[in-house]
Amino acid sequence: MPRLHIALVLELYQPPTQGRETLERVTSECYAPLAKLLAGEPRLRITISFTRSLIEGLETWGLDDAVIPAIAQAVGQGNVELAHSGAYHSVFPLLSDREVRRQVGLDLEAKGRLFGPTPPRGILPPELCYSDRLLPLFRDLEFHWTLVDDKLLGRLGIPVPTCEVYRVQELAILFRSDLWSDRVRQPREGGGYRTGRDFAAELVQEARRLGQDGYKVLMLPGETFGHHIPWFQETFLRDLVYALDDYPELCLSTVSELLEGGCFPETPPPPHGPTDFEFLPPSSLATRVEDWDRGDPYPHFSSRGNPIHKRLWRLTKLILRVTDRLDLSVPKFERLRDLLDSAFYSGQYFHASLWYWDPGPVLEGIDRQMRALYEYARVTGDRGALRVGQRVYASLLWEVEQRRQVEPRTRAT
Amino acid sequence: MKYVNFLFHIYQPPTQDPRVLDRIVEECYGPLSELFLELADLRFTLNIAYSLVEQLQDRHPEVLDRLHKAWAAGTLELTATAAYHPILPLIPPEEARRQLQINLEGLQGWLGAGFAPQGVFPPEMAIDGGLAGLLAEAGYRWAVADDGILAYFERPIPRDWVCSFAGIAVFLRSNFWSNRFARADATWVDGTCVFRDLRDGLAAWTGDRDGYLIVSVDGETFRQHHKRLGAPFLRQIFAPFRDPAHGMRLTHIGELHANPAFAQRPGFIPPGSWSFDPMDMERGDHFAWWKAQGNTIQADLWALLDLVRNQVERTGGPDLRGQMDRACYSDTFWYASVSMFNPGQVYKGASLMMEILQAALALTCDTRSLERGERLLRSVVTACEAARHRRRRRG
Repeated sequence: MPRLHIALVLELYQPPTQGRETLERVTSECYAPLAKLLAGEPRLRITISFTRSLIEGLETWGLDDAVIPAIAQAVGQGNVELAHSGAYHSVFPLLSDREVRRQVGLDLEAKGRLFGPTPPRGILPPELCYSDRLLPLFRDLEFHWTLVDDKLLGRLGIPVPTCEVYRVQELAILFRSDLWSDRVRQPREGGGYRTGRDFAAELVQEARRLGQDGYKVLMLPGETFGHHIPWFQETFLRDLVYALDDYPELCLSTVSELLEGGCFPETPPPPHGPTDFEFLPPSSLATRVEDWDRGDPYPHFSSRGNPIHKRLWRLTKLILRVTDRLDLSVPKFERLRDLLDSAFYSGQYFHASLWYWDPGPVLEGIDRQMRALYEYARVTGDRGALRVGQRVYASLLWEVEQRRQVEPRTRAT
Repeated sequence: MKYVNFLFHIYQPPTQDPRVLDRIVEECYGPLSELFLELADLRFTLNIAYSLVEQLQDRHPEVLDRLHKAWAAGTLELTATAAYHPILPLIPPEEARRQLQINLEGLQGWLGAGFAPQGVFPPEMAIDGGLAGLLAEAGYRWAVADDGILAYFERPIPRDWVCSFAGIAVFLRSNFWSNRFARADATWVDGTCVFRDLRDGLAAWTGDRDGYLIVSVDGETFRQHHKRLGAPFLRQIFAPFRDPAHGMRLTHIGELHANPAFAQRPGFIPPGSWSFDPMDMERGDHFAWWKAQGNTIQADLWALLDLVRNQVERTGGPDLRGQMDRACYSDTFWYASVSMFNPGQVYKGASLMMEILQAALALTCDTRSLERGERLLRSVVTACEAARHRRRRRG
């Protein structure tokens, strides 16, 4: 009987600026019950990205005991696979190779500290921000697979693989099913959210239509389960586990399990027409076809024509450029290194986007970046860079203020 | 005898661009210092803040050499002041004492331990009763203030007596005469006109009695602010003082203080500075150029300065303390005023404060204070940018 393997990937993340009150709420609604579920339900095979930024937040506010031991238990049981990511959730394609390596290294270090040695298997670039440039880097860091969103493939005439796995430069590339991932959290017609059993019933139709062994990778924010949708860890995840008893065509796998035993043959991506990319288009979780057509592969983070994005990145690039010359392993740069690590998290750019405008997180991000720049000037004496940064800072604040006057905050946020 | 004191005030902020300093030296400080040597038989008073001395030591020691010679020869009387030009009534008393001490030690480093000034030039001549008392306690004998505030409060302006206030003699600068220089009075076609006006004016004001007049302006007025008021113009003013027939003499303030012809009388000096506006006084805004009611940019700047000072005190590091002293300079607040609004200058001072805060926080790890500082800086910059764009739109 052909089977459809479902690989659920949950990303658990909070920005480094997250305050106690919010983190307490999300922990009680989501992280703690989710961790307990994962530890207590070994049939729930799943891949999670548990970012260092969140781990540090939990530790800072004394919430780690409610989450980390249970996740460690689930990892030990083998039903939870830990994928790696950027420690502070930065937009990899827009950072230098050195910073990407650093972010991944910090993530590995945190996971190693809490869960023991976790050899690199899968890497989830934050927000699935992808560019071909990252592939040799990931391979060099000894990863075996990465995940890319599948929304743009159809537009570019690249088939979405369901029964085979694309392999590029010795790295397996899997695709997040945008359709099925979004379906998990979309309210049904007539109201209410899908239960795990509802979802299994829909998936089994897909399995039968496929007629051979196949797979789907679904990726969602971990906070969907309990925080965004109350009790969803129960009504969806636990219910799904029980529903699978009645649907032998379906099974849950971790992503790495999809690649084991040659279940799915590996092939290079098919050739495509003339484009700016070599293997796959630059994209992110949020990139729609119309964004791609407009030349906007990372619309939530660096959108063309967004004056705040433009200036935010001018500041980021300035800081990266001046610090790139330094050997940051030298002890006198220790504080600068720490500040740089958490300065470029995605949230600040995200909340400057058209869709998720919220000046508070943008301003927090600007301040984080400026802290790094002030420290750079302090330890190097390079006041020229600081002066340039201060000019960008002033123009950024003005752009933020102008937009705030017109639109205090996007309703959706 | 009519005594006239010319009190020159020269100062540059600690954040001054060295290229700007070079230009000012070429146009003003250089010629002025040469003039003091040339007119060695006359008497002038100079207030030079340590903030400028530091910069001249680095780039133009020849100017300092000339001033040193003029002081040693008795031509120049030098006053005490606050090292980095803060508005003394607006900072805590311990900070005011510290600024006076840094200035004293700095100038002693330049002139020698024998430099022991008797009189104080408070930056911007900003004074209140608290500061006057503080100066008296510190052992100074006299200070200078502006007579415009007295005129506003309809108090008599001393011309042949000296006001004694809170334990110290306060000499009043003539707002009227000084501002004619500051504005380069168009009726003064050359220096001889100035002397003639001074002679006639003093005669009309003091009659047959002995009297005195203090004219005090920024040294930069001469040639740097007004091209025609260069050394030749000043020579024309000062040369006639050599002729005893005029009954006019150039003097030091210390000599006025010691002159028994000018007795001290108790008198109240209202809070104020040499930059005051009657409209501000009506609102009770005695130091409006630096801390005006309703000026949120200035309010945030002062809050930021307080926060930074608090953090620096917690670290106890001498380097940061030294930077903190510099960050108190008045220009940051002055350029946040409605009339002098200049965001670039505000940012220079605010950024210096933030640099100090960031460095202090590297030691104290007080993230909450850093976040408060960041909020204040954001508020300053956002308000400045809004005002800047508003003004630009209005043309």
